[in-house]
Amino acid sequence: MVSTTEAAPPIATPAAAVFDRVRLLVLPVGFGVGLLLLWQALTVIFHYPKVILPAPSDIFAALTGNFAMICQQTIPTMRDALAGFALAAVFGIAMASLFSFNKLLRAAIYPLIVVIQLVPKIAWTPLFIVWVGIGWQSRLTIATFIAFFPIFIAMMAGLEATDRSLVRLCQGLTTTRWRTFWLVRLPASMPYLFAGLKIAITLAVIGVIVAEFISASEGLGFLILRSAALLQTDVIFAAITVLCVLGLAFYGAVHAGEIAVRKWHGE
Amino acid sequence: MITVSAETLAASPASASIAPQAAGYVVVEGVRKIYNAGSRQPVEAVAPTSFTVKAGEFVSLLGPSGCGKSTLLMMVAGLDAPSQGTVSVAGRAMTSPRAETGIMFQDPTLLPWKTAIENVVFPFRAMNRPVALAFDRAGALLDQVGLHGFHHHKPRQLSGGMRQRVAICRALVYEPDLLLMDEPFSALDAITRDEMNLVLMKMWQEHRRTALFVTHSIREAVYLSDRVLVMSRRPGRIIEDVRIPFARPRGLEIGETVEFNEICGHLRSKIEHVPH
Repeated sequence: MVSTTEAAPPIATPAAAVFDRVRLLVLPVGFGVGLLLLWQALTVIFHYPKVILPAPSDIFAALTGNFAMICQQTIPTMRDALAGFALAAVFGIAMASLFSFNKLLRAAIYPLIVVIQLVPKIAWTPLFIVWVGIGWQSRLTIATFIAFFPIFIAMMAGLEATDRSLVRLCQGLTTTRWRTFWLVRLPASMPYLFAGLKIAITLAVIGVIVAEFISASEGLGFLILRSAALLQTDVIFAAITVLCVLGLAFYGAVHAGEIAVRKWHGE
Repeated sequence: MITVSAETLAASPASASIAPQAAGYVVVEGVRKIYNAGSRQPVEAVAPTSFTVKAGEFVSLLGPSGCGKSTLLMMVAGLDAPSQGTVSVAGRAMTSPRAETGIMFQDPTLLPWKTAIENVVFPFRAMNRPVALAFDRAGALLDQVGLHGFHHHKPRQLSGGMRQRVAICRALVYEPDLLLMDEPFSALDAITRDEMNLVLMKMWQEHRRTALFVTHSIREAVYLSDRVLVMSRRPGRIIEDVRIPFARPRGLEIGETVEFNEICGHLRSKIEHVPH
């Protein structure tokens, strides 16, 4: 009577199902490992100069050899990206909520935001440095600025996609607009919000790195640029590796939040 | 603030709190609805229509799809404003929704992230009333509609019929004096629909609210109602007012009687020969 669990396909045996799942994980991981081995083999066989293309083993050595220094440089990058992401989330959610209450404000400002969203925002980076200086403030501002748009737009979409009949139900119950927002529209928009947050967390890291390229005396972006000047290509790759791990961890955390929200929504 | 325990809810006699002197509990007078008024192509959804529903009466609005019966119901709910005419409920002109009206829509319109019992007590949260006391009553209502053991299931874990049962409980939990239902069972299959009619009948028998029920099913209207109002095609207006004589409680077997089928036949002929 109750369809809580989706029935497994009747033909597939449990073993086949396990194989399917394993294949989904093993294939891409195996391909990645294979690629690394090929890279290692090619650099060893053809004696590529380390400055141009270090072998994975060189990169690993650079990572472990400079571990303390790289960790030290990771902290400001991580801090600015996360703080920018958090600020963007606060602004994005607040502004979208405000617009859902005030149609006039929405009509006046929303089209402008959509237009700005289409502009390559990274091009604004030098401007922010002119305006707020070369300290961490400019990195934070840029990360916030570019992470804001996907969050704001996803939140707008979520609030506007709220089931019309649920809103009507609230009208019938003489619910105030604020309570309708709090009880229905806000929770209904959560899956949309998380789609925006996933994009935003990636953009926040990109924003900080670009800002560090332009002006910084610390951070992974700074480390990459300085290592390039010193022709320490292996350190560049080590920094990129750390950035990859960092980006994946952030994305994974938001993704886990999304799964939790979708589960809460009964999906 | 309303604080009534589950016992008084179950024991509340028919229309105890309803003014008996009122000629009609719901009075619809010369109500007309025109969409896109002032444009080049105004659409008259409801032609000037008048009817009344007495306190404690179960009345159905029966008509073909798109005849304006739902529009009429939404105007009684105060969710839509008439272009002309007036609607009054319990002696008060309807200009906005009133908290004492319970509404059921075509969809169950449940919050997907809330459990069945949380959905039933939702009106208390929505109206900012103390919710703690409502849980006992919500649980009792869910048991009455046969959802014992499903209190903590989320809507997605329930079948369509079960969801609509939750919606019935939600419409009754805050003890509205008027129940408005907009084709609540039209999305369900025929067997579930019969089942839901039984559940609704049982709940109405026990709680006795004035009820206005919109449907395009002739048999459903005859089975449930004290009176059936037949509406014409758009622009809708009431062309027939038929009293249904069967005693209550009614079993589904009355559907097999000659009298029941004669009434259905009469209503069908009215709908089919509707002048435009």
